[in-house]
Parts: sequence; structure tokens; C-alpha cells
Amino acid sequence: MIEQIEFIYSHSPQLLFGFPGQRPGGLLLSVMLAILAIVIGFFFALLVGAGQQSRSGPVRWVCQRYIDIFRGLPLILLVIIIYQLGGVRILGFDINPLAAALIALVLYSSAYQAEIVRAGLLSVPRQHVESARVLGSSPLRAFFTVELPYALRVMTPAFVGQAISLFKDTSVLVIIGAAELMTITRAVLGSDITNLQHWITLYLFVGLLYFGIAYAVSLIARRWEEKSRSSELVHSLTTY
Amino acid sequence: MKKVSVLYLLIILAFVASACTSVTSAANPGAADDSSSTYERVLSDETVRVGVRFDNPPLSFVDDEGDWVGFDVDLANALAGELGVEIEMVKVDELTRISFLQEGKVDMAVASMNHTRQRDDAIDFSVTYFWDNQSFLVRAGTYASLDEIMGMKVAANAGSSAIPAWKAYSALMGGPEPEIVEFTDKLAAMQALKDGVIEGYTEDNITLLALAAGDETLELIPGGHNPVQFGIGLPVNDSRWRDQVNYALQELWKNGSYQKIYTKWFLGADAVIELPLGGEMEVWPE
Amino acid sequence: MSLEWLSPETIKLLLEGLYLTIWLTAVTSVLSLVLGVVVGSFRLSKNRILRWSAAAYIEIHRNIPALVLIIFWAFAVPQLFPADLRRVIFFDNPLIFQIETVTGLSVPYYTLAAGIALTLNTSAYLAELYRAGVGTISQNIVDAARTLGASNWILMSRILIPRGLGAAFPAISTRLIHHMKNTTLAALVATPEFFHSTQTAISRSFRAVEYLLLAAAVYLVLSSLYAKLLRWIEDYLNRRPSFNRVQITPLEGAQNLVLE
Repeated sequence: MIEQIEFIYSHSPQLLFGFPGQRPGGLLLSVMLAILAIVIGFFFALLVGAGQQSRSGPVRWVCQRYIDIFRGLPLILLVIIIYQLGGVRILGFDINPLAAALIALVLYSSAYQAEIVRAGLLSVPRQHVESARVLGSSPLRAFFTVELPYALRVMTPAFVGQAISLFKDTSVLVIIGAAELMTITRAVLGSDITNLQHWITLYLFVGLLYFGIAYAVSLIARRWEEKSRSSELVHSLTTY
Repeated sequence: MKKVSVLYLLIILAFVASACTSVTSAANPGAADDSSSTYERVLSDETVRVGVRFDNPPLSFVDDEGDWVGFDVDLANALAGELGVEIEMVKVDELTRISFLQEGKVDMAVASMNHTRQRDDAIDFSVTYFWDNQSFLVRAGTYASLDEIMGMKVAANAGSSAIPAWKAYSALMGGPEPEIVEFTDKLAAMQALKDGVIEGYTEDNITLLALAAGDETLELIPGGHNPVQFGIGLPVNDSRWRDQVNYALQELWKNGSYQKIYTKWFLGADAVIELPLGGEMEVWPE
Repeated sequence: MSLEWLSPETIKLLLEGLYLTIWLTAVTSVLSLVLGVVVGSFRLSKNRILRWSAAAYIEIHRNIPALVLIIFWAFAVPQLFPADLRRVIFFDNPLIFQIETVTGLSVPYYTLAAGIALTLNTSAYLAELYRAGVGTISQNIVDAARTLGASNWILMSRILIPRGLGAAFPAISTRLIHHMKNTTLAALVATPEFFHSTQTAISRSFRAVEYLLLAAAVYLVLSSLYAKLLRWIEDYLNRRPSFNRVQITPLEGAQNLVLE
């Protein structure tokens, strides 16, 4: 039992932060990737969400297909496709696992976020916007000063849910070897047969790490959202 | 409405797929043109990108400190030195070591690649730089020869050349069709072997010996069903680059660097595994 | 457009993988739904132990990634048992043999483990959705039903489950489709489902891009077909009075539901 704990303890710097020379990695990288992907994905989501409301038919069609594709594909498949396609001959530039991972995560989350954005904008009560217009504000100004803040307040719990979900989804990056937690776990076990005895404790520890972060953040989000008084069903419908 | 959209999607994907097929096949004959040879590009970039595996002791693996080490790693570094360029190692696994060459993500792959005719359709190889065989790791005392393990449930790494080789060998020897379980995780395969889920695990002997080092409950069936010759994977139809890599390899053999690396890993006192040199590199005169 | 990269054996391999994916999705979806309702009901129970256990179950299986659960069940759980028992329980018993002969899988336990892990994972989400769905049922109907003398069992089967699932159905559909996409993770524990077959096909033919795009197309079609199926189910259920959300007085509603 002692040696199990010793094993975990001695490898915890790598599991949490990555191998020296490859930092950030491990749990830290999983968290960073999730946050980065959500933030960058948000801008894509705005674009696509706006495109969905466009007056132009083809634009609407492209945006709808974008959402269909990146929501209909399993993330693991998307990640592998981007990694393989990012080859010099096909696309003309090179991609390393980390870049491919980020691109895939951004595309994936932007599709889900587009739906959240749409729901959020739809939830703004018309009277708010109309009052602003009546008071003389331009449509654009009304959007930024009335609709967006209101919608953002509604959407935030859903976004946090997305972030948590994405954080857990970074586990599939093990398939392209981006240095996140699962990849490091595999590397730590390595090909050393004497490590077989540590398999259980190591995966229990990793499960605990994921659980710890995901649960903690979800608790914070729930408390926040209780303060905003959104209906419970909407919460469950829009979170991970 | 939804059904029509899905149809459009499929059509688009089909076109993209066919476009990619034509791009990959068109790009290849283009590489035969001297001015666009990989060699020129490597020289101008002063860097060679080498695909190396990271889960394959003792040839290329990540050790306890997280350093990338192994025979293949040392050889790749020596080659880069011989070519006079810097090295950039790219992680590959059994599944990507070929596709990355095809896509130009790496300039060469020093990834314990068995030189087979089937693979020659997709990529090219350097001269052989390592000789080995493929046999089975079994629980001690269970099977003593290849005949006994024929038709049994065995494991192999997904994408390994051991899979078609074992099927062919079984067919050749008139044995029953084998049942092969493909693992992506070496340790999982080892655990399955020890648990009795599978009867044997086939891979290059050098890998099996390294995996089972120190474990007395496992032993290697003597001999092998598939003599392997490792070659460095190279982009297809690029003879200028292939020549340069071959010359570099031969220089390493001639000036003793190769032997030094080999001894360090397989012959000397610190050798991880004992494996006498199984062949001799072909060296061409001027 | 050239299709010579698709040989007959590869097509057979891919179809076998596709069959396993569909079968795995179907079975685990149903099981997750049932388990989700059970756990969700515990979560609503007056008994504190049941409530707390259900909450713990839900939090554990929601906050740990599906892949970690799958790997844990497939490779780590057997290790909890001593070596001699391991083979008997997981790999060599008659039940496993049955599964092996029916499905043709080489190591049925790994697939079983992946199925268990996926079911547990999705059921945790469904339990929460069911709970939220039940939360939208007006207390009046429940009270009215009780005054009519409905037992707990009738209450649950005639009101809570249909109305609860009905209210949460869109979200349940989304989660079930996500569940289908999660079956790809089983490929990482030697389960020969469609993604795994794709990888095998790639390694045999060295044509990564073509097979990957084909796999993408297949999964897109699968998602959209599954979504369509779920919508059809929702429409069918909405025609039945128990799911019908037409507003009537609580007493009438309870009468209809309880005494039909």
C-alpha cells in the first residue's frame, strides 16, 4: 500500500503539471485547453449564431451545417481527423498534437456554444429591447447595452457547464498524445511491466483529479445560478 | 428537410475524400522532381523532422525521467548529425508512422518499421538497419513452440506487421485461423496475457524481451514466425532523399558509430536486452 | 471518384464494427434510461440514505470522464480480484462464453466493461434530467391523485415517469445522442466497434484520410438517424394521454391518469 502511495506521490508533479520540458502538461494543460477552447470558441459561436439569423439563405445553411457537423461528430474522431489532415501535403502547413487538439476543441465547443448563444438571445424579453429603442437607441447600441448583458447573464451557467464538459472531454486527447492528463498517465505507466501493480491506484487518482475539479466548479456554478434564479429545468437542459 | 441536408453533407464529404485522394497521389510523383526533393528542403531548413515512437522499449521510449531515449532515438540523432542538420523528433505510433510520411509531416520515420512489400506501395524504405524476428510472449510453461500456439487467442498491437504475418504463417503451416485481439495499450496486452485472457502476445522479439524484462512468469517462444528487417521510412518516390539517407546510414556503419550505439543498447554490460547483431548493413562503394 | 481503397474484406470489417456500435448504443441506451429513472427516483425519495447515495452516484459518474470510467472498468476492475479469481469471474466463465458465441467478440469482458461504464455514465445524466422533469409536474396533480387513493406505484407509473420523462425528453434525446458518440471510446479498450474497425482498416491500407472521412460521414448519418428516431418516439408518446401536456384541471388530470 505504501509503495502505491509512493508511486503516485513521486509522479504527481508530472501528472499535475506535465513532464519537465513539456510544461504545461497534465491536469494543468487539460484545464488550460478547456478554458482557451471555450473563450476562443465563444467568438466562433457568436459568428455562427449570428449567421443563423442572417437574411441570406446560403449563409444560414452553412451555419446550420457547421453546427450539425461539429455536434454530430464524436470529439475523438474530430481530433484525429484534424491531426491527420494537418499535413504539409494536404493543407500546406504542419500541425503538432497540441495545435490540433486546440483547433478540434474550439470547433467542437463553438457548435455547442452557438446553441447556447441562440437560446440566450431568444430569452431576452422583447420589452427590454423595445424600451431601449423607444428611448432612441440604435439597434446596434440596443444590442450591446441591453440584449447582450441580459443574455450573457442567462447563458453563463450554461457556459460554465460547457467548460466543465470540455475539461472532461480533453481526456480523449490521449489518442493523439497531446500532453494532457490521460497522456501523461499512460506515459507514467509506460511499458514497464512492474508498473502493472499501480494501474488501479493511478487511475483512481486520475479519476479523483477529474472529479475534484469538475465537481468543485459545478458547485460554484450551481450556487451562482441559484442566485440568478433560472428555472431548474432550464439549468439541467443547458448544462453538460 | 433534415434528410436532404444530410445528403448534401455526404456528397460534400465524398468530394472532399476524393479530392484528398487525388491530392495525395498527385503530390507523390511531384516529389520525384529533383528541385522539390525532401533533401533540398531539409538542407534549407537545416532541420530534419524524424518520426520516432515513444512507447517501444528499448528502441524508442520515454524513461522514468520523461526523457526520450532508445536505440532508434540515438540512431536518428546520429543520422541528423551525419546529414549536418538539426533534428526535430515527432511522436508517432504504429498507426501514424506511415500516414505522417505520406502527408509530409515527417521527413523520415525511424520507428521500428518492418520493411514489407505491402508498405512499399505507400512509402519507401532505406537499407535495413536492424534485424530481428517476431515470436510470442507466453506464460511460462504453457507453449514451447509456434505450432502449439496456432489457432489460439493471441494479442498484437493494432497496426503491427505481426498481424498479417502470423495469419500468413498459420495459413502456410496449415494451422487453424488465429484469433487476434488488437490492443492499443501495451501494458493492457501484458496484463491480459498474465490474466489468461489471451494465450500469447506477438511483436518484435526485441520489444517482447524489453516488456517482459525481469518478469519470470513470462517467456519467449524460441525462433519466430516473421523475420523482420527494419528500414527507415521515407516519403515515396523521392530517390534523391533516399540516397542521402542511405549514404548517411552507411557512413555511420563504416565509421563505427552504428556499432557503438548498438553495443550500448544490446551488447554491452549496460545493455537492456541481449541481442546479437543479426545482420550486416549493405555498404556501397563510391 | 475512385473507390478502389475499399476492398470487400474491409467493407466486411467496417460493417461488423458498425453493427456492434448500433447494438451497443441500443442496449446501453435502454439500460441507461431505466437506471436513470431508478436513480432519479431515489434522488427524490424521502429516505435520506437513498437520496444521498443517489446524489453520490450521480456526482461520481457525471464528473469523471467517460473514458476514465471505461478504462477503469475494463482494465482496473479485474485487478481488484486476486489472480486466480480473475480468470474465473471475468474471462473464463460460462456467461462470458455465451456472450462470446453470440457476438463473436474475442474478449467479451472488455466490451461488457465498456458497456457498463457507458451505461453508468449516461444514467447519471438521465437521472438528473428525470428529476428535473418530475420537478415540472404540478403538485396539484400529485395531490389530487393521492386524494383519489392512488398508491405510490400507480403514482409513479402513471404520472411521474411519463410526465417526468415527457418534460425532459428533448434534453434526454440530446444526452442519448451524445451517449452514442461516446461508444467510440470503447475502441480504446479493444472493443471492435466502428471506430476501432476504422483504425484497423487504416493500418491495413495506409490510407488514413479516406477512412477517417468515411467514418465522419457514417457518424453524422448515425447521429441524425438516432435524433430522428428519438423525435419519432417523442411524437408517438405525445399522442398517448399519459404524456399529453394539455392543461386540464388537476382533478380531471389525476382522474384520467389514475383511473383509466
